[in-house]
Amino acid sequence: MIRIENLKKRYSSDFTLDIPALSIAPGERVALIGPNGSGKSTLLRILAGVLKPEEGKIGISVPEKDTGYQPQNPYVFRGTVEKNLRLGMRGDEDIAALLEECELTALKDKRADRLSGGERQRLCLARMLAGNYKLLLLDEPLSAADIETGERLSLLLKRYCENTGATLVMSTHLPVQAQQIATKYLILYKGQVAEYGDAATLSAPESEFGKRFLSQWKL
Amino acid sequence: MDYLKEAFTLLLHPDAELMQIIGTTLTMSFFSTSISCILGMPLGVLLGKRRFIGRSLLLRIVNTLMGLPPVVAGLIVFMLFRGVGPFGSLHLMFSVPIMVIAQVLLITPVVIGLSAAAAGEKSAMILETARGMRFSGGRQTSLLLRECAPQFVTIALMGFGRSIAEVGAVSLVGGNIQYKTRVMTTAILLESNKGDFRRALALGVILMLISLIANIPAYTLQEKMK
Repeated sequence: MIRIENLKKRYSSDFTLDIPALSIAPGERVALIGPNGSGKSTLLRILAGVLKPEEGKIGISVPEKDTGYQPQNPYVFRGTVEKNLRLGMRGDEDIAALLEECELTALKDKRADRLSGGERQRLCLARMLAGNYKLLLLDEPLSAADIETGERLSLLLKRYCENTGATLVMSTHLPVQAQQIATKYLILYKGQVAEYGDAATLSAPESEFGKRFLSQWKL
Repeated sequence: MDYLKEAFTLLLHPDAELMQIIGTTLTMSFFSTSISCILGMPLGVLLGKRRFIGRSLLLRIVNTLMGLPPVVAGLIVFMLFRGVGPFGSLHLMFSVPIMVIAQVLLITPVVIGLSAAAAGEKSAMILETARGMRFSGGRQTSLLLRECAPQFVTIALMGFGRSIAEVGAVSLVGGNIQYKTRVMTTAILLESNKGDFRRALALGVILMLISLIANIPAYTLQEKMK
């Protein structure tokens, strides 16, 4: 369970992330949606403990060691794809199955620093899944994937959460991508919560910004 | 071509003085580079990785010292270690150890500055990723060092290059004493002053060959690290 109360954090000269109240139940998959600079990454970094809020309370029932966080530009370590994946392992995960699911089997001996943007992102996602975390905080995990790969990886992420009962909070600027994975949607605009709710949030937004932002997408 | 021929003849049939010059050069460069790396790399990583008050001032000082003229470094060490200087009682003047000290003063800021740049460039991304994977503090640091290792090899090579090619500081504090403190660069300077350009150039070719030989294993190591 994640509970946020009166959270405030200034993240640029103009904007302050301001979330009066928010709660996320165990096993929920929440997509943070919004344009660039809306505060998505700041919220994730606060939840991950990388940033400290200026005001407010955050309660996370999952212990920190079971919370995996992937920043927007995750680093791939020196060595092969497989070596990178092994770095993320915390138990006896089936590495071959994970490589296969993330479409990395053919690349497993390739140097990680020579991967394309999409391949790199698949590796980073696989590395997070290898960690077997109970809470996953992912910042734009699929932004570099093409439409088809994005869909497959969205399904993989969704299935992973369903099978393990993991809670997911991920950011994306693509509502379509959010729709493929999430059970709840938090739309942020200039640090403020514009919308928060289930599938109806995307089909019938209430706020002006929500209507304007979502009208750009064929949902 | 004659110079090259003479260089190779000298290399194949080295006289006792040349052997001493090469030996002293390598000993001095090995110790000054090693000590500078041992002191400079951890400090550089700390400076690149941590954010603290006064960091930018420290970085500016280091960057300024990176351009410290060798003669000035030599002069500072000379003033400190001459007979009436604060460390005069150590009687280190005109010896290989004092040449190493002068070079450490010269090379350490370069190592600190370049290590800070190498670690600073990657550290934020590496540490945020490693922290997100819930690695311990020790593991985060060891990963950072591991990721920067190829750059550290380059930095050590640059330090070695600066050491082996340096003349101002070593001639001031070492005195270019035959069979004692004469190194390749001071020998080249001496031969040029004597007008024996053939031998001076031959020594220059040997110096470059030593540099090349030092670069080959370092380059191989760097490639293996990738």
